[in-house]
Amino acid sequence: MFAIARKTSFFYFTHLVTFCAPAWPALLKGKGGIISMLAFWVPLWLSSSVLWSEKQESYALLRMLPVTDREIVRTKFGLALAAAFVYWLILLLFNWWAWESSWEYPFYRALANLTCAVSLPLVACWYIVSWRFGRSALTVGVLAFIALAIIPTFALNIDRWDWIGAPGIAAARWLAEGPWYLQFCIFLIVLAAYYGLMQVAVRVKQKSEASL
Amino acid sequence: MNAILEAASLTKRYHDFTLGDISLEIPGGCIVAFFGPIGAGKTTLMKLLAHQIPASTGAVRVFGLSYDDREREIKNRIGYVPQEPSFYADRSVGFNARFAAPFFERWDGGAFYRILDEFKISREKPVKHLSRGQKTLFSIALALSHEADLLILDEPTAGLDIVLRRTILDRLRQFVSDGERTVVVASHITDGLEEIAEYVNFLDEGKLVFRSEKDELLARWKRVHFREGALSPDLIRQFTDVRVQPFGSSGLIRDFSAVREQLAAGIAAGDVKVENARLDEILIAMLKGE
Repeated sequence: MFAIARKTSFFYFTHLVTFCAPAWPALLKGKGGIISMLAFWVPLWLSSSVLWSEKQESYALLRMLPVTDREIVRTKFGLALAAAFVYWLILLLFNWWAWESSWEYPFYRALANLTCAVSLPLVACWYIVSWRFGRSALTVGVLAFIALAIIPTFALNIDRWDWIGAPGIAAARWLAEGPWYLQFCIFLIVLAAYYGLMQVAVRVKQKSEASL
Repeated sequence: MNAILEAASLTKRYHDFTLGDISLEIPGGCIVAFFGPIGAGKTTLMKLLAHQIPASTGAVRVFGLSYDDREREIKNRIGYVPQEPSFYADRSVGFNARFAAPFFERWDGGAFYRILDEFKISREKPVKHLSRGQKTLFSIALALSHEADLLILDEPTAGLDIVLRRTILDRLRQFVSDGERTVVVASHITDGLEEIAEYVNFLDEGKLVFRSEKDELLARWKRVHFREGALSPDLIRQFTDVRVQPFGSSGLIRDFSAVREQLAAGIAAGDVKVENARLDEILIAMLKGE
């Protein structure tokens, strides 16, 4: 399993590096800036990580080896979970650095919690799409998702990014103003959903030949 | 018969093809060949036996174990060589081997590199630069390097030159020489495999149409060469694949024992000669339904 994890984690790691890279100048120069947008990038970066790792995967080879589909799925889902956790830690760190003294800090923390939480079922769905319909379907899906998320951001004034992410911002504000355990409950619900999707993914992987 | 591999009512349905209701038992310590024309379902069957694809219905048991709960254990004891081996194409042969090695409980790296050298495959070469035949050889090297008890090979000699084909066949013969290990091999050509296979299966249009011990098959089917007028027309009508040649004709007979007495006089007079039929002749005759 370590061999699969090591190979797949390369893509998560390289994406993580590119995710963090634009934030450093903003952090070094002062507060805010691009840090405000970073949380919205997590679903995109994780989706892209899945896409690239799946494009490079050889499931036909793995089928020849003494490893079960259940083990493969658990490894992939475990890695995605670990990656989401690292993104969440980084977001917390960056936001704490940028906004710690600001009254907006709870909002940014809630936003980080929310986007990382949303990313997990999203990533699970991408894996299911890949294993059920093949890599072509995954490529189309992820690229369409990224385009839908990025193009309007650039098409509109970058200053109005909060308008683009309005639903997410409203949800984050609601969470930030709510009791502390609300975010904890969401975290548990997302984990349960992720686990459920992992079981679905195991069955899909076992039954489908689309990824071979 | 001590079956090492069993399939019960095995079926695989695709929208344009069905491999139907296959039940078989493969004994240990021998080479079992599956022949059939292209598109007969050989590759699908090999994939099902090696648990590369899920069956629509039916089950496969290997070493008495089921893939459902003992997949890892079974695959540790199987070497599978697909028709079109798939690896991490951008990476080197060595990388792919190092990737695969930790999955096996009994990986023998020394044996792997010895076989690789024997096949003259560079370990630094990216897999995408290997020819189809070299990919098959690489796959065979992997299959032979973890002390497998069962090899399942799909068209292992396709795309190989005569020297390498002979090397592979010798390897397979050597593999089963201890009487414990088994080879299951599928091919659309009998060339070479007919010498080493002990059991012969014939697939056509997704059905297992025939199974036999090879020696039994060769004892029954004979090619009869005869001079003009040496045999009665009634007897000649029982022949298939009749070839008329200037200095005598020949035909295949399905059940030699049934006509042996009728041929005796001709054989004694030197007008009739009987020889073993080739496996491909027999299979073609069966394919034509003769």
